[in-house]
Parts: sequence; C-alpha cells; structure tokens
Amino acid sequence: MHRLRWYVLLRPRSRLLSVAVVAALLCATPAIATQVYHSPNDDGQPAAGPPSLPEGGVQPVYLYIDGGASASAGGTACSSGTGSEVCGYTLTLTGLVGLTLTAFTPDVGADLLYDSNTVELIINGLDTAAPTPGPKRIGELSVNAVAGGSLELTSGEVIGADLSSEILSSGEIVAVPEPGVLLQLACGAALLGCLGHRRARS
Amino acid sequence: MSAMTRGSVFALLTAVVLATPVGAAPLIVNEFNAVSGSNYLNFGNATTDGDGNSINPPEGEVPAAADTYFGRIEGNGGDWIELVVVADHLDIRGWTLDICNGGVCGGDQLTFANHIVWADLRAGTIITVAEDEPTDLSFDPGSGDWWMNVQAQNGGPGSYITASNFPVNEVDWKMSILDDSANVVYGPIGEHVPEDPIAGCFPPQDNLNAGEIFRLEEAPSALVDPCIPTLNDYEDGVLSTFGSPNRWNSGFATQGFDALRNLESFPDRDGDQIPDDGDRSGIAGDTPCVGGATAGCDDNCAGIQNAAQADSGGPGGADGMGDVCQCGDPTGNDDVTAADILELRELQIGLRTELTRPERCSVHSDGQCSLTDLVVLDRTIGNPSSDPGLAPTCQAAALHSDQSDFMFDPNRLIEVNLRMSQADWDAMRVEELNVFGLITSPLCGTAPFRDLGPPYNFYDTEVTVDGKTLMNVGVRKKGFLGSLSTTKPSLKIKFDEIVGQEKSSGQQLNSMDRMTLNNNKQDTTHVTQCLGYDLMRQAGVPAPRCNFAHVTVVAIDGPTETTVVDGLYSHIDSIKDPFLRRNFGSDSDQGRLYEGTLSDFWPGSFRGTIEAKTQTAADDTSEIDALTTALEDPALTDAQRLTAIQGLVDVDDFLRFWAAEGLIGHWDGYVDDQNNFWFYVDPANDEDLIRFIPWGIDDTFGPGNALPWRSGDPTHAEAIVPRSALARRLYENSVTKLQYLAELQNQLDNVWNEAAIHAEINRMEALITPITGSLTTELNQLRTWVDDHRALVQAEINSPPTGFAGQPTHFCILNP
Repeated sequence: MHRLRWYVLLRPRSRLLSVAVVAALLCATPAIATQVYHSPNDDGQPAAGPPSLPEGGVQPVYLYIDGGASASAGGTACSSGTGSEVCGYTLTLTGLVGLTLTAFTPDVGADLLYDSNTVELIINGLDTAAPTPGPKRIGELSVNAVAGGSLELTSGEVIGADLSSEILSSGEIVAVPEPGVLLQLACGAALLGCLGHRRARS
Repeated sequence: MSAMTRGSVFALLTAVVLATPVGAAPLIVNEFNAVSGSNYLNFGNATTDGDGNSINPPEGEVPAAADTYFGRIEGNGGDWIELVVVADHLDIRGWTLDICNGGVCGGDQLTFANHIVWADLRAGTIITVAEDEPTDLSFDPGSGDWWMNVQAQNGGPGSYITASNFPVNEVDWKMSILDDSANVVYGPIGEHVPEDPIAGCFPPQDNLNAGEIFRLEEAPSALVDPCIPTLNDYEDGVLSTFGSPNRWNSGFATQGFDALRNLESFPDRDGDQIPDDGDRSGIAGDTPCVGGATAGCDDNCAGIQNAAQADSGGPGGADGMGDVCQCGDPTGNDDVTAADILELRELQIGLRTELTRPERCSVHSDGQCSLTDLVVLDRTIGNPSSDPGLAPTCQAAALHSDQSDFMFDPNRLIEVNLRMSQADWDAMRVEELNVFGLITSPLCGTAPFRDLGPPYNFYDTEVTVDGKTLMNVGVRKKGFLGSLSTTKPSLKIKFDEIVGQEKSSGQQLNSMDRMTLNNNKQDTTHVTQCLGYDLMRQAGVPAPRCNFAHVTVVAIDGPTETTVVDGLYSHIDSIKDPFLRRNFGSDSDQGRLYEGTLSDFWPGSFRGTIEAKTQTAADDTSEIDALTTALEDPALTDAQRLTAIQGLVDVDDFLRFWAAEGLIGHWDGYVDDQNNFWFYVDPANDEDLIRFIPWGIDDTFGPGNALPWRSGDPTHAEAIVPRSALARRLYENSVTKLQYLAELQNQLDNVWNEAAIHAEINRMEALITPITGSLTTELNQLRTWVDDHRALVQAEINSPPTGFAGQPTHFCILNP
C-alpha cells in the first residue's frame, strides 16, 4: 500500500499522531511497499509531516521513489533478487484542482523517458544494470501551487528485484493547503509551542 | 587384438579423453564387443556358455549366449563398434572415432573418409565398424534395412574409413566421437570413465569382462548422455546384437528405433524442410538450430518458414529463437536492440498506442506484453548472458512451442508404457468415486461431485511414449461412473507432476504437459470417441482432438515385473489452457472454465454440481447465475428470455453444439442427460459469452438414452432430445427452434457423409485391430447404425418431437 494514501484520509490536526502510528506499523512490517514521494529538502527523506507546498507561484517538487532498504542477499537483482531494489517503474502524476505542472527536470543519473503536459506527467524509469535499494531520485517537478490543489500519483507500477510487479495505490504526493487550513496549522503550532513552553517552565 | 597405427596427436587425444563426457550428440555409441579373441560370449566353449547353457537346449531352457548375427563363435566377431545416427541428414565425413585403449589414450583413430556414403545419413541408421567383417553398404531403409557395416583393417582400401586395425577390449577401453574439427561430439564412453561431480557428470561404471559386450539399454536419441545415468543406461551383458537393435533383460527388452526412423511422424509444419524435432529427441524445440546449422537440430522457428535458420537477432547474437520469430523485437527488424526498448518505453508512457510487432513483445513467462518484459529486455541487452535471458514466450514464437498436433496425428498409434510399483498400482486402480453413495447423500447437489468424493491421487511413474522415457511423472486414475474400471482404468498422465510436492517440474513431451487416456470401456468398437469428436469439429464445435494409444502398464514388485494392462486407449485432448488457446484464442487466465457433471443452469442440485476449474472461475460465476435465472424465471416471455440468453450465451455456437450432440447420438451429454460437458466464458470481444465444449462421448453412435425412465420425456426421440434447460428454452422459442432444426439439417447434409464415415471406420480398424483383435462384429453394428441414422434424423427434423414440459428431477435423491 502506498504510504501517502493515509494522508488523504486524515484531518490535518490528527495527521502527525496518525502518521507516527502508521510509520511505526510500517516499520514493524518486513515487506515495505514502494513509496513515491516529495522530499522537501531534496535529500531523499520524506516530509516529517503532511507533504505540502505553500500557496502561490512555481514551487519545486523533488520526486523520489523508494522500494525499501533491503539489498538482495541472494539471487540477482532484476532477475531473482531477494531485496527491495526497484528495477523499473511507470508512474502517472496528475495535478488536481488547478495545480499545474510547469516543468520537469529528470535526475541526471536516472534512466528516464517521460511525457508531460500541464496536467499530467508520465514517467518510465529503468535501473536494471546495478540497482541499489533505498531512495532513488526521479527528478524535479515544478508546479504552479494553487490553493487547494494537489499533485496525485494516479497510477503506478513497479518491477522489483525478483521481477514481481507491484501496482501502486493512487494517492497524494503534495497538497497546497487553503489559507484557512494554513491558519489553523499555524495556530496549532503556536498552541503546541505555548504548551511546551509552559511545561518547560513548570 | 592388434594395435593400430599411432596418430600424431597424442597430447590432444589425451586431453580429449580426460575431459568431461559430452552428450546430446547426433551420433552415439550403441554397442561394442569386449569378448577377447580366445573367448566366447559368456565364456564357455563353442557349444556351452559359462552358465552351462547349451546352444541346442532342451525345450523351455535358455540357450547359450550368442550374437544375433554371428551366432556363437570365438571372439564374437572380433573387434567391432556399433554406432547409431540420431540426427537426420547427418554428414560425418571427416569424423573420427577416438579410442583410449587400456587406459592409454591418444594413439588409435578411425576417420570416416570424405565419401558420399557418409554425407547424408538418416536418423536411425546403424553403422558398425568391424575389423573382420567385410564392408556392406547395401542400405535400404525403405525396405527395412537400416544397417551398414564398414570394415577397418590394415591394408584395406581406406575408401570409407581409415585402413587400420583397431583395438576393442574389456580393460579400461573407452572411445569418443570427434567431428571434422576435432570437437568431441560424444563420449568418452566405455569402462571406468572418470566422474566429474563439479560438472554433474557420472558416467556408467560397469566392470566389463572378456566374455561380454557393452551396450546402450534404452532407445537411441539425442537425449542419451554418458554423463547422466538416470537418462542413460549403458550396461555390460551377454546379449549381443551386431548390426541390430540392442536387447537386454533376458531378451524381453529391445531398443525402440521407431521414434528415429518414423520419418513421417516428425512434422515440419511450416514446410521449410527443417523438421520441428530435427534432432529426433522426441521434444521439438529442445535443440534449436544455431550457428547456421540446418541438420541435426530443431527448427528454431517452427511456425514460420526460415530454411536458413538465421539466428543472430538475440541480445549478443544467437539465442535459439530464429530471427523471423524473435521475441523481444517489437520493432520487427529481426534483431533485439535498444530501439526495441525505446518502443516499449514509448508504449508505457503513451507516446504510442501500439507496437510495430506486438506479437514479439513478451520475453518473460506470461505471454503478455508488460513492464516486466521491458525490464527483462533492458537487463538482457545490457548483459546478454544474464539468467534468465529472453524466453520464447511471445506470440511470434508460440507455434515454436506447440508441437502437440504431432501427438494427435490420427494416423498414429501412440505407444505408451507406464512403469510403477505394484503397491501404487494396486492403490490407484481401486480408487473411485462412490457415485451411488454420493447421489444418496444429503450433500449431493451442494457442490461438484469431485469435491464430495475422495480425490484421485497421483502416483510416481516412469512413462515412455514412443520410445521417449520421462521419469518422475504423475499418473492418476480418472472417471466418474460408466468408464470406471479396476483392471483397465482410464488414466491422466501429468508429465510435470512431482508426486508429493506442490511445485511443477515443468516437464513436457512435445509441448504437452499431460495426456488423457480413456479406456473405451463403454465403447466396444473403440472408435466412437475419435469418430465423434472429429465429426463435431467438422461441424464447427470446439471438440477435443483424439487418436489412439497402445498402453501397457508394468507393475514392479522387487525383481518381479508384471504387465497389468495391455490394451487400446483413446487419447483425448485435455481441456486445459493449450486447448483453450487453440480453440478460443485465450486461456483460463483470461476467460473462465467450468465442467458440468449431472449439471445444468437451473437452481438447486443442477447448479450446485457445476465445477469451476480455476479460482478465477470460482470467484466470478455471474454468467452462470444470470443464465440460471433467465432460464428458470417463469415470468419472462419467450422474447425476453431469448434476449437474456443472447447476452450470456453464444447462441449460434450452442446450436451447433446441440445439433452435433444429437447427430452422433451423444445421449449422455449436456442436451439430453445434463452430463459430460464443459463450458468456457469466452472473453473474446469483451462479451464474456458461454461456449460449450463436448466431453465423455464414449457411449455414442448407439441406441440413445439408456435411462428412458427419466421424467419429462414425451417422445423419447433419438436425435432431438432438448431436455436440458438451455436447449428446452430455446426449443420453446419458435425462432430458435427453427434455427436449431436448420442447423441439424445443415450438419446432416454437410457433415454426415456415410462414405467418409465408413472410410474413417475402416482406417481406424486397420490401425487398432493389431492391438484389440478382431472388431468385425462391433464395427459392423456401428456401420449399420451409421447407414440407418440419416433417415432417422431426417424424420425427426421433418416431424420434430414435442418439447419437454419442464426441468427433470436431479439424480441427487435427497435434493432432486
């Protein structure tokens, strides 16, 4: 299951706690499903909280794919491998509710073929020679961040180290919150900060 | 034994002899004589052998050992070696027999001369090389003479082979066969060839003595391998057969040469003069032609003419797939390149809607074109030696892998021999469904009968089909009621079944993973199944293929071997994916397959006994449920019902099936007895229409329904008996009733050809009566039935019987 799907189902205020629970559950599960996500700092790490972009103007989305950290200890990756290397994928990303795609710059080291317009980006990636496990940068997608808009993974298929096919669940990559939601988030953060400050003083 | 001239390549020969043996050759060693010049076969003297057996024994006693050609003579014919040609049209000019004598290698060679006699040898030819026997090349396979002898001795003419004496003996004697480039094509084989566990090579380790010969004890084929003792059976012994097939097991076993010599049996379906199974291994496609070879190898693209057998288009070059049906080549330029990857990627991201040659896409296991194929192709182009590489799973190569027509050649009488333990045989033969117990059970009708009764178990068996032996094959009994037998059971042979394990061995024979053998118990003529299915196919019904098999079953209990079955069976196409692909162009992954046994599309027990043959079929029974409702609902008008039926059933297809069942008198099928039928929800055109497949036609061409007491039959007609729900409802509708009668008339006019049927019966009679004995009485009754049938059917068409009033009661006593 695609991890980002959970965000769609949750209210922002309860997301942090829920994400932590989900993350704990995922950590306890030996087989981790492949994730496609935005890494805000472009370092391969997903956002600590709900992945969002501020409203207004063109914003970068740093796309990564991660099949898991396990390297093939037996067999050969992209043939009979036992690890979580990603050998190939085809992804369709779609801008919703006014969010438009303005440019895509594939990662220099990635073997990609893609097609895009202002609404949709379809990417095929291959990495069969010597795939490595863990986060793999796809590229930088520039989007015009309209309030309430989102970038969704609308379809995806991944071929793993043992040549098995994994169909990815559709889900949100990033969302651009409405101003009201931003305000709520700010208030929530201030409240949390306040509580923390009082607790520290007492 | 005298020494021969020493060659000048001592070092090379030493290396050759010490190398790991090479098998799967076009020419193999079949026998050689180790009897020394002063000894007799099995020792003794001219009149009595070492076991005390006399050359003129009293009646009932074993005679003294003697060669079938020489008789019992001192030295048993001197130095001789016997070879068998395995690959058809083999050219052995310049080939050499390398001899390693007494553990000393490198000195003795016999080379076949550059003579036309060696240029085009036919598979199955026996070549003996003898020091003392004069050359005889009067070779005439057409009249049954498959043997040629060539003499090699000092001072000889050297026209055919090196003019040199040569040693053959029992002391660490070995030999190899080298081709004209000095490559080892077979061997070494002989006494005490070293094992090579790393290479997985375990040659036979027989201890020959000076009163014995050394021989191959299995049918010669390209699969004979001196490294693999499980497939190879070289033994020492005293049954000597210079120039003829080997014999062993006290003379009860004889080498089978039919598979090699029956040239007509090995098809060349695309007509390019390269046989589908050119190496005569019994498995087409296992040794595809590469490197420009066109003889002694299998057509590398058996469905498309490619006489040159070009194969350079794989990643890195030759890959065993001929260029004209190269998988992994969606661009269609007969070569696998980066352009093929690009085209597949463009398809993935929507830059193109179709491939130039979509039938060449699949290189992985499922035959579909997918992202997995792209990944495998990318990996293989980057590393052509990666494992697994490209597989011939695309449609372009599909014909390459389906050789089953050969197994269903109607003119063939397949020889099937099963060898299993006596205990397994005794357990298997008595297994059966307790049908009478089942129909009186309260569970009857709640599930398919197969789910209620004990299953038929597979038993580990050695199976030989036309001389080709497969080990570790699963065999089980089959049957429901009428065909059950404890002495000659109907059988399912599953070549890829590993008894006791979940996994499949993947073993096949001529691209078949199973055989269905019916015992003909209810068919005293033995011919009605093949005759009936053939007529049904002529009528356009997707009916199984059928031919005959002579089946023997040998039960083994320690040293005792008992032939427990020796009789004629009908060999019927199994209703599995290959059948579906041939008849519907899809398989059970795409459509859904079911079997009906006392079943119908009617609520209750009729519906409950329908058996889904796959999980996919079990998960989605929507067409069955909808058709059951449409047929049962009393509120529907005829027109409404027909509309509903047409949305669920290929009605034209069913009318053909219905008419054909009546035409051949298949009373125990779907239309009359609601029994013995399969149906397939055909995904063609995304319509998911039900199509019927006939089954169990072993009680046909006879006097109609044997169960006239069944309810609701107003007239007990012979050919028109629309008792089943679908037939009954279509018969109630005046439009489809007329369409059905028209189809029956059409089949009577165009399929029912008495002269052709008689000719077919006569052909079958000639083929099978050597096994069955005379069938004159039975077949004459059949001929009379055939002659009378047209008038009967025509009368029923002219004056159709009244339809049935309603659904009959089910056989399930407690759930009728």
